[in-house]
Amino acid sequence: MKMSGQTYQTIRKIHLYACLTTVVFFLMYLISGFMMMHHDTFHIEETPHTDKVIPIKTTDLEENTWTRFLKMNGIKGRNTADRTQSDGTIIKEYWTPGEEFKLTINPDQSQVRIESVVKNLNGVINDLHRVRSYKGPILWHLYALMIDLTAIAMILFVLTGIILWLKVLKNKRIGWTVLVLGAFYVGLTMYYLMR
Amino acid sequence: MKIKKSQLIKWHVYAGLFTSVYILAFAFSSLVLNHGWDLENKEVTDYWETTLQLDTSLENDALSHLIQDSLQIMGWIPYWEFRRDAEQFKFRVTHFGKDHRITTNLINGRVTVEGVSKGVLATFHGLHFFNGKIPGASNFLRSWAVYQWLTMAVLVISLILGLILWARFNIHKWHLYLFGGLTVVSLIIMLGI
Repeated sequence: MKMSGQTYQTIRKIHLYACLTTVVFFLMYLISGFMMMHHDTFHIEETPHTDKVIPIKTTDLEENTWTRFLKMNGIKGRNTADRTQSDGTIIKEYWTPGEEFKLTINPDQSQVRIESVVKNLNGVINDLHRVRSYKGPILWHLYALMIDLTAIAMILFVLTGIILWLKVLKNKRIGWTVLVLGAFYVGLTMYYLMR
Repeated sequence: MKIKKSQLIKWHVYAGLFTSVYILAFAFSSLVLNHGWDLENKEVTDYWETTLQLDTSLENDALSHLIQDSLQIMGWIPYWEFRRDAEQFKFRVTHFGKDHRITTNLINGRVTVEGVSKGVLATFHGLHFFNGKIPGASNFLRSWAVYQWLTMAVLVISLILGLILWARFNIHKWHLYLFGGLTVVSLIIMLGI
């Protein structure tokens, strides 16, 4: 493959920097993915942590005061469920890696019951793998951005890696064999899944 | 024993090439999940009918598995989607690449099957969740578990070799500051949410 020295250096840098920029997230996905594959060994345990009833005022449910209320009561994370039952009971759920909160507001909105569970380290790592989408507090947006960056970096690794291989190694027979066999196996698996 | 740079590069390259398609599948799937893209085809792609000898006294769960086995369709059966009356029994068999909607006439044993192939992109995305264990899957598909394990191991080797190459032949002080800083920022984001 013909390539100027400058282009080669640029591609090499992209390959290296893509890895170094996202290596923490990449390793987290690798470790948590392995733990998910062996979930019988890396068992997730949930322990009830909080169960308390707190009196509230109707104004506490307004957006700004509600955020303050959540902070004061140590409720963190993303709002995952918000529903009103037929009797007027409001249920709000929040989730953060390793911790889940359920808030039950009684129909006359005079008190809220806060229940929470905490997970062991396996549960925290498992939850980190499952975080996705641009929703919730600012850090969650940054997390989602890191997911996108890691995904793009992974695509860049592969593409730049293939280009570098074509440039660097003279004997390409082994490389082609490995690449084509891998692609063929994945392609055949997809074919059997789709047919 | 000191390993030559050319040797390290070769191993790094071959390990990387072995895992490349798998990495692409995961990267693509991560983008799909992060943005909630719906890639699945919803149109029926194949349709067929057959007649089976059925024991209609069976409960929904047992009957659906009997029909699934008789039709040799792999996949999971969502029990909450069972629909049954005196004449018909409807259920779905699903996996990462295809859905089968099955309607059984309980009076004459006639079974109609509507296949919905989810499409190339949705199946490619589905590899993220696939571990080779789909009920009724062939031995070939089961071999994915071995491939997945091997790929993860080779990926770690490739990553370590890449980092060794960087640390031995290409490291600069500013790399440590910049990427060390990014590592700290990543950890803060990860542990802060």
